[in-house]
Amino acid sequence: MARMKFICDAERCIECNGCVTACKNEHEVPWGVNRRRVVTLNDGIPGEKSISVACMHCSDAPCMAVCPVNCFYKTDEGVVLHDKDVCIGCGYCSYACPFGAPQFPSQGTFGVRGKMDKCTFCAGGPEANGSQSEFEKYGRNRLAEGKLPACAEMCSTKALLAGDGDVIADIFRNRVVKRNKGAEVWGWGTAYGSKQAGQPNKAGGKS
Amino acid sequence: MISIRYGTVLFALTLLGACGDRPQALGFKGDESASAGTLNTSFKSSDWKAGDKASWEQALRARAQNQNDYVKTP
Repeated sequence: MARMKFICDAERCIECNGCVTACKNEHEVPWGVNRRRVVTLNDGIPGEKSISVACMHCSDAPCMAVCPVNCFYKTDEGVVLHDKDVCIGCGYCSYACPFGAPQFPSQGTFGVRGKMDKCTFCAGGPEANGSQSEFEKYGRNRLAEGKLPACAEMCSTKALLAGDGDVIADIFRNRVVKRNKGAEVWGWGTAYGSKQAGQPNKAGGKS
Repeated sequence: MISIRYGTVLFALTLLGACGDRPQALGFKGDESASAGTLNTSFKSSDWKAGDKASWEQALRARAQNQNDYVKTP
């Protein structure tokens, strides 16, 4: 099996926030913590695009690299998880993460920052699969139930895809070929400033 | 007299025991594979066998195809 990955198809995302709600509900995520959120590019301008963002379970995860207590680990399926019993809530991972995935709940009387919380790809944590302690710390372990993440399975337009990287890449590629557009909303041109995604910018650079 | 000596030795050992250092190894201590199954069996999907990684992978691949709506329409 390849690595577990998310892809969000910006041509399909309608910014309904169903994925955010599914995640919150599935894992009973506390107030103030958002493991997943929907980001809209060019909001309010015709042609705006939305994508659903959470931990991308990076192949070379910067959060793992900077953690001073080495609380992160990667499963055989490429899911980046962490051990809350080891986490000291320092926040280095949140500075390192390009997606803003690590979240820190406010706990304690004086609003002390709690241990880091993030998307687990619905794979729980180091506790026994499906145990109460695992649920309380990390939420449901759907992967151990033979299911895919709730956000993707709940997505009404199937914009958010989750699963084996090879499988979902094939699904996305098939869509792009069938509709003959949509690959350009991801990538260099969108991220680094061409006027119209997919079109060459004025400097003559490749978008 | 002997009991006082024993008591003193025992007391000294107790004090020395408090000086011991508990292991402080950092890092993650291990996790079981998702394909090993779950304690929460009432929510487990039925199309694979717990502990059988190949069947788990196959079930997840098949499930991922539910996201491919182009295969649902002719």
